[in-house]
Amino acid sequence: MSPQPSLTVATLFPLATVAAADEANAAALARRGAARGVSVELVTVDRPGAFVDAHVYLLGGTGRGGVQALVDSVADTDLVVRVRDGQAVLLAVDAGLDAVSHAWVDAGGAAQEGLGLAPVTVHPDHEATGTVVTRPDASLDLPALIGWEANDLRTELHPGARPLFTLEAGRGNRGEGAGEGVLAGNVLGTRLHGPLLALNPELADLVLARALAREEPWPRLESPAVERARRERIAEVRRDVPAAGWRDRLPSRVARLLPS
Amino acid sequence: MTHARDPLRARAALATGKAAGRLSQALGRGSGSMIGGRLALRVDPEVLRAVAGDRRTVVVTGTNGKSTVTALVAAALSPGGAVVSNSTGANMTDGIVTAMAADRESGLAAIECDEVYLGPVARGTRPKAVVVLNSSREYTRGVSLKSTLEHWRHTAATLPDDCVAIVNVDDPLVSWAFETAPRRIGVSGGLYWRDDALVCPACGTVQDFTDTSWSCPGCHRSRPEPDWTVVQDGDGWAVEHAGGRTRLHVTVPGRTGPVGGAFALAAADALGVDVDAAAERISAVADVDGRYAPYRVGEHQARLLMLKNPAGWAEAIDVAVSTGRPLVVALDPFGPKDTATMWEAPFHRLAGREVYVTGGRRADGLAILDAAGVTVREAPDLESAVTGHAPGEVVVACNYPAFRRISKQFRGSTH
Repeated sequence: MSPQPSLTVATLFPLATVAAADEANAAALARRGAARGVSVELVTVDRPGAFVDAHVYLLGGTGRGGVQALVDSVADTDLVVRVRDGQAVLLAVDAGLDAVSHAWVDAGGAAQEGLGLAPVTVHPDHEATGTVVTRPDASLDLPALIGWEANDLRTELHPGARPLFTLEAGRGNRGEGAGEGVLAGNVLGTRLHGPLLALNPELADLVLARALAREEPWPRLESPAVERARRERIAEVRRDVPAAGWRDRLPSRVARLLPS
Repeated sequence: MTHARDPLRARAALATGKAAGRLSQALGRGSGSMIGGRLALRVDPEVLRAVAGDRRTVVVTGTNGKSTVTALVAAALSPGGAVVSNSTGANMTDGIVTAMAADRESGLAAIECDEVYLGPVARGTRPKAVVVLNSSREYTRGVSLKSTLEHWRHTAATLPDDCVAIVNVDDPLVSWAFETAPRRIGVSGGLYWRDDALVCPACGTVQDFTDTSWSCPGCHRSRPEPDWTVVQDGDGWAVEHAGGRTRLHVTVPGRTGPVGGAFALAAADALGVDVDAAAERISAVADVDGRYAPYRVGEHQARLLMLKNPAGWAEAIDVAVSTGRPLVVALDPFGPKDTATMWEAPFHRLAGREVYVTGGRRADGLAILDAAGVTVREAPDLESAVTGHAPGEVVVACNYPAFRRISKQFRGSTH
């Protein structure tokens, strides 16, 4: 009998950014790991001196204010080396994606240098918020997922990089196609903040599989309660987003005057 | 609403605000509790100073429990005279201007203040006391905890010399932020949610927590000795202060009631109000904006709680665990992230217990509680959720829209 595989998951600098239950992602990895016979140890790293050698790092949260703090803190750790050398997987969310980008945008709209781990350059754009639905992706063994976005950024992928998701609903990277986030080596970058892995256990599976360098797909594992919650959200998004017509392009003040 | 002694600009501001508030009400666009203040502030940014006048004000801030504690403070101050309070919960500068402009006569004020508005509100009202409850993350606002704490620390340093900061010494973040206050009084009632205070805000070291205290091995800060301490007293609660003990009867369930009561007594004492008289008035507070008062459902009594962040949910879970009362969770939709905060709450403390979940967003509640190992039951409506439990008192923990809907429904029927 082979010994039970075990992983260490480290949540990095959670207080530096605006939280939206991102820490529930670590708990989701532990839960999904337990169901799959993988023992997962959770660690929270709050300052560079407490950095640990983990197999999975969770970095980010929403909010422009915290990016420089993340860049400064991460720069004093081995994170970039460990992820670049394939020793660890990084899930970089929103402000975390900015921190590991090549360039990001500060609160004043100025370009700042990132840690260069994710092959993206971030540009200012207009504000967009809402619920996001992804398209199923057989290559990553993912069904349609649910997530939230709230940012005023365009995330430009560098040549050769692929988005993490393709969207059915939502704005995503605002580049070519309907891409969202970036998947490059051991970096999974996304703007979808909040309890993303808790809402989408299959994405937790993907992170675990990458951390274990597991090639074959996981056996199917149902989680009926969370799947139902996701189904209801997706149905709600599809109901609330009618096909865009000429009417929708008018300013709402003008549209209101027109007979329906 | 305007006084002859107000500066001309403030009078113009108040007249504009009053007209706008009336217009807003007449158009059915709301209670008019913010728009008037907002316009008045635009005409004169100093208008809060004019409407606050020279009355003696207690400002209440913190992430959780502001409305409840403000109501308790208002009651505790009342033996000292008439009290104005922004009891509608409009707790930013504009709402406070509206509340104070509507009552220029009361000599005392109990003002609930949003965390990030503490600076301008303290400058405008020149309070005699600032009550600081806790500091915890919220998901609905785009402000990091760190920047709120820095705002508090800066504000604390600029409080008037005769103002006393009444702070929760069990919260290391609050304690640090108000170190710079000219005068400080400590209240201790416990901290339910420590996950936001794991590291020292001053030096970044991981703190040592015991059941009743905290200290930082890095910079050697530790929990200041409290001046007011909530203690169990027989089957009820009391507050110990200066060698004496005052019994507290508060309708608010769990420890939230006596802890809020302790802050209110400390505030009353700071303003020279007799503590025993204040305690008596606190016990008469039966209800805060529809919260806490028991409602009858058949042979059951439902007590409503309204929760908005993990710290709030942690408190509700603590009420259910410490009182042994059964729990109903009621969730309605209010946007994409309406249930996100619940993913981090310690529902595993209820593992093995039976909890009913109801409301338009109940699928999320079922998923979150199921993941925490709770035995969850789905209920199509509140009545079947409550009566699913054995007869007696049931705690109904609601998110904001579910709370609005259910309290309205209850108030419309039997009380």
